[in-house]
Amino acid sequence: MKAKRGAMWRVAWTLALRQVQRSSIWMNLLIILIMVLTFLNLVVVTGILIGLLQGSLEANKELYTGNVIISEEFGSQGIDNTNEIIQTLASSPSVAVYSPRYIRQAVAEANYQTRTDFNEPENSLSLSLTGIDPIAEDQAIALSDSLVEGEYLDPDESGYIMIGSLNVEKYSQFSDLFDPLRNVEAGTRIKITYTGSDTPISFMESAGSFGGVAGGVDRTGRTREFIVKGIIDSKVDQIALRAFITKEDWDNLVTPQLDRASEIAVVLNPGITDDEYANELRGYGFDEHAKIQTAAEAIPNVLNDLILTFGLLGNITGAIAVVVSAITIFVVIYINALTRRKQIGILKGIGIRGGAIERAYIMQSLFYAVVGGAIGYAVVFWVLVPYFNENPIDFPFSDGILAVTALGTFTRWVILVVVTAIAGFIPSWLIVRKNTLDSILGRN
Amino acid sequence: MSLAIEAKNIVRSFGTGELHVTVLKGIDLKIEQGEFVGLMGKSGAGKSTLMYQLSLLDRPTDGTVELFGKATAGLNHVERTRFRLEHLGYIFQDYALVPELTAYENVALPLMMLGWDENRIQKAVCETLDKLGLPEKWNSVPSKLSGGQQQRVSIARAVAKNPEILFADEPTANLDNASSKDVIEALQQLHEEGQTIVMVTHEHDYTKYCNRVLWMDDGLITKEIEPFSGEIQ
Ligand SMILES: Nc1ncnc2c1ncn2[C@@H]1O[C@H](COP(=O)(O)OP(=O)(O)OP(=O)(O)O)[C@@H](O)[C@H]1O
Ligand SMILES: [Mg+2]
Repeated sequence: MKAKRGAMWRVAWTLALRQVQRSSIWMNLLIILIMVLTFLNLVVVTGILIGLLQGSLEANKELYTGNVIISEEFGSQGIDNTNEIIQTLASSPSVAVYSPRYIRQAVAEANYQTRTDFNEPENSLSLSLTGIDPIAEDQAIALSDSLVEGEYLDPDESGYIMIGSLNVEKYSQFSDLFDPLRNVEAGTRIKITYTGSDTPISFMESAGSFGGVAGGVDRTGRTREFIVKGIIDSKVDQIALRAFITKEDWDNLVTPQLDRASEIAVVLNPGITDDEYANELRGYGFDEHAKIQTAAEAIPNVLNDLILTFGLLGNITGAIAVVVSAITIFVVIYINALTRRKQIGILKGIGIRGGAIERAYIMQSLFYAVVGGAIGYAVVFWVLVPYFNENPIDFPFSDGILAVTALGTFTRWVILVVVTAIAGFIPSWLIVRKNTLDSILGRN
Repeated sequence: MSLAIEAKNIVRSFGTGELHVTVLKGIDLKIEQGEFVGLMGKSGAGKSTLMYQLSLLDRPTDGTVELFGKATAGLNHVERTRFRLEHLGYIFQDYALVPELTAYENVALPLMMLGWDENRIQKAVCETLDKLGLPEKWNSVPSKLSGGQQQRVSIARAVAKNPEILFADEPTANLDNASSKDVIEALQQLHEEGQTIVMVTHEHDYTKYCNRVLWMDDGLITKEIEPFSGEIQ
């Protein structure tokens, strides 16, 4: 019986090969095109949905957290042993660069010089005033690349501020949700008032001491005028919501009790994983007074949920695409087999096993799925992926790339091939199983 | 001489109730190995229906068909297909070639199914196509061949495997006179080489080479007539 099985495949192969070879080229192209499109639908829709989010994860890492981020415990003001941590980071060969950030809520006010009428609404806003080392911050998260206007902070100058774009009406997409600063651009003077609890201070007092501001610092040292040096438009909202000044200016304004950073972004050298280094830091006990997270851990939960959701959506779209192409193949093979019903009957009449004829149709369907999938595969990896890497889709919160893995794509291909084979088998089986003589004579 | 076909009391009826028709009404028939038997009769007499019973394409309602002394009633449909492949050749009225396959491939297909190796297939196909007068047409698909050539390819497909019995149901019905004559000559040549043949025809002329010609009427074999003895038109 073994020889017979081989014989069946041989007959099937001859029938399938010739049917594909000698059927209309347009028909072949059409079916293959449907397969390619199905495959792309299967791979690209999910890929873009997930790529969009992965892009935002990447953005979070590149533009905000670095590989590892050390941040203050919720509710505390700064990290207790900032100095100790910084010494460790500075002497670690694993660390490429680190950037401590000192953050307090402060009120920014613009256009106070032109405001003559006290009934006019205040042009002010509460924002996260962040003291940084401009050079370290630029090395860590390339902050200067996010400038949309003006220039980057000069570490040697005082009295300049960079404002996150979400605080500025001109750039904010949320201007209908809250009131960003109006008429602010590079060169505008704005007044920053620190209202925090580092030392008790009355906001009224500083607001009232209007005249003192002219010199730059008021009598209490809690309000100061800055010139907007630049505007930062980051894909990461946390950054775009902040305002940046040098650590020196920050010290002057906030009156630090201790050197207590709010967060420290750490960028690692190659050769160590984020997890390894985070664990190393935890090993020193630094997590007693601070939160130590890898870039992946620092991702907001909602993003992870979104990734799952988008993956699911992509799979649903893909499943629909597969069903559509399965039906297409089913119809194509069914019509093909039905119009050849007499011929199929005759083949059986001269002794060709039904199994061989079914195999021929399965092989034909497989041919379309394999070729269509191969073309689709090539299009994905040789055209679309490079294209989206070069020209990411500019989503507000990330650079959308096409997130596809070779394995994931291959798996989808296999799914397409298997489903297509089944879609080719069923109609041929329906026709082949009919009574031989009835088929030959065209009876029902 | 031993028997190739022995049919006993073959009855074939179709339908139930008012639609019930009995097409074959108890046919007894013996055909010797090496015989060339002609089957004639009016349209609707049941000639094709009888051929289907003898070639295992159909099952009689009653009666038995023995081929080379082997009872066939107990065979399931896979075994019947196998039996047809190994022992029987069938030529259809309308050639029934696979349109995408060349003449060569059409003839080779049953041999592949038999599990023959490439060399043996090539030898058998070439010899058979040669014998049937189809040189240089091996790589043509059926649509590039004339009706007579197609029918000869169809005969080649049936006989390349050396079947014990060759059935031909009106093999010349779709052909002009010259092509028909070619086909009949080809069958005669096979017969001379010892091939057992059962052929249905409407033209008395084409029974010229038959050993016997049976006449069917209304589901029964009613008489034996003389084979044609003149010059085929
Ligand atoms: N499946 C069927 N159901 C009902 N009647 C049938 C069936 N098959 C054949 N018949 C009838 O049986 C009779 C004999 O048919 P058959 O095809 O055997 O005749 P034939 O002798 O080959 O005729 P022809 O010379 O026209 O080919 C016809 O009247 C036909 O209508
Ligand atoms: Mg007939």
